[in-house]
Amino acid sequence: MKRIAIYGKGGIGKSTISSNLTAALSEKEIKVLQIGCDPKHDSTRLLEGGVDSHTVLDYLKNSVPGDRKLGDIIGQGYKGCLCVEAGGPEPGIGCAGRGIISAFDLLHELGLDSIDLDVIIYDVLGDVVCGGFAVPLRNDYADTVYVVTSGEFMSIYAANNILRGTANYNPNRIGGIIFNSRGEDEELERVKRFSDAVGIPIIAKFSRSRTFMEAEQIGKTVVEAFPKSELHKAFSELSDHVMNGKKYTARYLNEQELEKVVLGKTTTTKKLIKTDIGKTVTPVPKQPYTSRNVERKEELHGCAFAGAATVTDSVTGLTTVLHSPRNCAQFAFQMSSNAVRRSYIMKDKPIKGFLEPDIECTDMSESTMIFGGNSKLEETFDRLIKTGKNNFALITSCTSGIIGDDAEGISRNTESKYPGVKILNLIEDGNVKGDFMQGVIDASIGLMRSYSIKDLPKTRSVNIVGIKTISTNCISNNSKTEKLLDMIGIRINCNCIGNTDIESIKSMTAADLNILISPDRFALMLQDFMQNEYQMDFTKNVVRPGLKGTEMWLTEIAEYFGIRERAEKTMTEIKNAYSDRLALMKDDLIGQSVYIMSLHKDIDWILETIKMAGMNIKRVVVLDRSDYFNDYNTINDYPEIEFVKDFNIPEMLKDIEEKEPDLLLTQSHVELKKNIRQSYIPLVPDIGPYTGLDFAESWIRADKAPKREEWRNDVI
Amino acid sequence: MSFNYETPEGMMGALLALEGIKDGCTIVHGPTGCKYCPSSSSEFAYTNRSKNDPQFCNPYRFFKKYYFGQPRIPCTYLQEDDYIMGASEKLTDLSDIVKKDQPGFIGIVNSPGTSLIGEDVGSITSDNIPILGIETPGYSESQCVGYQRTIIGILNLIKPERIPKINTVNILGLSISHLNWEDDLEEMTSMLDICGISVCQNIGTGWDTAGIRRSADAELNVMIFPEYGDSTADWYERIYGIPYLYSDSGAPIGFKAVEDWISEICRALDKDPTPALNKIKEKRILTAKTLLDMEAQHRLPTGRTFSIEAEGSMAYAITEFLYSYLGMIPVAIRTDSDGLWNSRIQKFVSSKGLTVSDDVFNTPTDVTIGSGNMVSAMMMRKMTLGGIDVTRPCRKMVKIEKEPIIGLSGTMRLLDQVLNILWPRN
Repeated sequence: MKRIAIYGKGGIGKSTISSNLTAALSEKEIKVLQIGCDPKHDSTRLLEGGVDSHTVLDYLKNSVPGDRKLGDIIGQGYKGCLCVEAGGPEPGIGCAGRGIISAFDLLHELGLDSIDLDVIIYDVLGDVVCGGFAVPLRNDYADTVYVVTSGEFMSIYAANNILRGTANYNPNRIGGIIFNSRGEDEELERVKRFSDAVGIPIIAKFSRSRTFMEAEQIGKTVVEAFPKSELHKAFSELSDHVMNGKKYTARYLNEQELEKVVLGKTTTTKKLIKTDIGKTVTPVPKQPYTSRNVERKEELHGCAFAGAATVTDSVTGLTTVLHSPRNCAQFAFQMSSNAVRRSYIMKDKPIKGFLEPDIECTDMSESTMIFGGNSKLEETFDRLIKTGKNNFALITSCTSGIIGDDAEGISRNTESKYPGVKILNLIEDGNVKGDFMQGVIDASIGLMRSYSIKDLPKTRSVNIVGIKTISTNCISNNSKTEKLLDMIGIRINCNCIGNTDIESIKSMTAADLNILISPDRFALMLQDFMQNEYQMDFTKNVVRPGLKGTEMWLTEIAEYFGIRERAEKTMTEIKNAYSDRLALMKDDLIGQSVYIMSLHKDIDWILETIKMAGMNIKRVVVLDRSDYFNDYNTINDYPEIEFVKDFNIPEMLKDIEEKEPDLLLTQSHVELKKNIRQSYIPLVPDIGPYTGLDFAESWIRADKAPKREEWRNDVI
Repeated sequence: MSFNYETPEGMMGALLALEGIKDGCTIVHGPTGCKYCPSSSSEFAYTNRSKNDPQFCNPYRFFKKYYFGQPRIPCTYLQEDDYIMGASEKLTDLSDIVKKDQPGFIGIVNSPGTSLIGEDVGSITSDNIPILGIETPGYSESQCVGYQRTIIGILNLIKPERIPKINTVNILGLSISHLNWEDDLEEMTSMLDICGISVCQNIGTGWDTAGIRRSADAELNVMIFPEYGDSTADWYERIYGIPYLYSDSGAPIGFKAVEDWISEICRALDKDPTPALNKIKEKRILTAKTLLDMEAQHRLPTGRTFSIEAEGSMAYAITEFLYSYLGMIPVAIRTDSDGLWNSRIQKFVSSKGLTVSDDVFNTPTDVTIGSGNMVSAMMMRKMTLGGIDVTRPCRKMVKIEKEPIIGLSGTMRLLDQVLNILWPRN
């Protein structure tokens, strides 16, 4: 069986040539199937007497899998030829390229491959704008490609591009160039020059002729309508070539060569001429608040869609609408439902928003991808609003972005339709906007922009900024921070942004002061925003674990509120308790050597304990992680830290074994030949002054255990 | 409020079908966001893949391009530019890296976004490694549909040859995403074994490429969860003439369902199910004695309520068992499977004059049966007295003892947990 694809610039006459070729083949009793791969679905009209056939994609949309039959979408035309139209979405919506893939899949599923055929002709959309339209070029489809062109430069340009595209797949299957004249002088000469330059012959020539229009007028191909015409003869010869002709290798020209060959001169220059246009203009940064992955164009870890969802899902009173397939909703939702399970296992309080999730997904299906998802999104909002919901966060996936759904437009229309409804648009488009942290930043800032009321009277309180909702100790860290603040008589106004509710977000500016709870870029971005937008005050210090860390942030807050003595008194009590505990532990720790291999910089609270306990540091190596402060001050206090871009694991393992510390601290267990005790460094440490001591106590207890547990003898 | 997005979907089904090949490697052609959750699921679901290498999950080993700290399911980390310009170079590069390890099979799955830009996953080929490209990741279809489509894709590619082996069965309808699937297989294999029936292959769960090639040798195909095996069984029947069975009682959980399962298989292969039925009878007697003791203390579960969120065949079997055997009343049932099991459940509850909600999350109940996440949420909201994990993710983070969810042992597990939850009188 021969499989032929006909390509060429839009409007060049591919469908006319394809359908006449099909007719010519059918007259010779060759069994032909013509597949129109254009959303306009007009390829096979003239073969079926001008009938507009039912398209494969309409069928996919409107039928259920169990009821589908091939006969419902294959028509029979002139002299028994078979006709299929792939169809596609309305102009401007959906993804026609995806439609082609789905149409071909369906035809395959319904058993097209088992029909007895001699030739399949794929009549493809003129402008191959994405991979979907290139499907017929794939190895398992067309074995021969014909390129239709006129003598106009842009038509030959398109032909050249098609040869380039074919070369990307399998170059050795060009059947030839089909010249379809516009009726201008020198057209044929231009095409001949191009043909010689690329080494592909012109295998058919068609002059401009009224005969085509006359045949179209009566809903027929020229071959059927005018059997004695010159055009009929030409198509018959073309059909012979298709059945018996050679194949050529796709060669193509670069732009300059093409211009020279076709136009006889080069107009393209390689020199970029700079102008003064825009010199005095201040560019608007595309995204002023970015994660490090985005800022540095690094490999993105996770997607902004999921990051945004973990923030919005943690806000009670807000409905999160995910415009995505269910796949994506499940991946995002798992983070919050897993957090609930972890809270249960740890006997901790869960984030209320996660425990009672208010999420709706538009369940984008294959049909949605092809035909667009605007109406689905609109219907989802209508349905939810009728149940009484009126505060929404809309988050878009990569699929809705790629198919060009107008999510913002739908939101605007919905808000106009339903006064009182508020929709925060988080057009993340999956990971197009950035990584997971970018989504967290966008959602946090978006919620503040949407709901926070400016310049509220102050209430002698602080906001905690940089909440990480999916960390296991999010709630407990919140509680510990609250407890420490309570010791100096200050309350928390709002958790920015996570584990909170809309009313708290509204009253965000009522806090006198803000403090970051995470020493990373995400929190820093929120700080920048809150300072720029609301001129809010921030502490210099971050809520940190450890004795010194706690003293620094607590004292700073107390000073701000003019109650420094209270903080000093509190810290004295804490320090005494710390010293008492340390004294009991010191004998067990003093002189022990430690090696630290950490994936992040948040370890000063460990180093503090190590030094105060009189332990020796063999080496501290820290990965320069993507989302931490560049100027995080650990290095000032602990100059022995080495920051690295990558861990060279084999070298590090060798080094650890050579140095043979008593204790190795790391986030993941490391395979060592020697039996060196290892302890886990948490990714998000617990807040509080005694965190380092708690950690050290675990080392002591482990040290009192047998050097080698019996179970290791059972390892095979 | 709802917990409606807890269950995995078609793309996860496809990925875990590929991950069920022991010597296989799966690639996601897509962004990292589409890789983390499936990678993690695969690592936890199939820890025995690398039995002799307990460190295989160590992220330090996989701190490299494409793997992002996880040993399973590397991805091509598509980003904005790739959606516009295409990402075939990354796919080729990653495929070449993976091929160097000489896996027995390579599966490449498009993420939803990548499937829209016409990336040709079928273009990756190899002379000696079978490679399956999954163009369409299933978007919003259920996990069992994605799973079976992929299994059939694997079979169409490998094309097993048939050398019939009598008294052998393939076990279909289970995936590595099912909780404690290895224990389940061992449980059912042992039950078949005492009746003189061997298992040829476990389709989709820990089979390797050599096993796939031999999977058409079985005399009969039998199913655990039919929605995960019916189309595959149909394929084997069409291509190789291998008949298949699944029980109308649903999944083999509950005394009667297990009895029916083994009896029907033995009848088809002309074997005697008595050894298995005797074991079941012993447990029936033991259970009945326990219930008599409970009755003496007015602690019977009769009239107590339960809810279940699971695949249809499991939900059906458990509902029938808890209602008929223990006299418990279902108050909410939710499944994500096809219409067949949903309608059977509806028919069953209607025939008993019961009204059952489909909103498990918001219906108070004595016992919740579902995933660990669902059970945790119900317990923390005080909507239930206790829960039983029957699907992933599970509340139990470490499991040493075997703990089948199905079969006779699975039935005893279910009974034990239900009766303990209900011990306090209501």
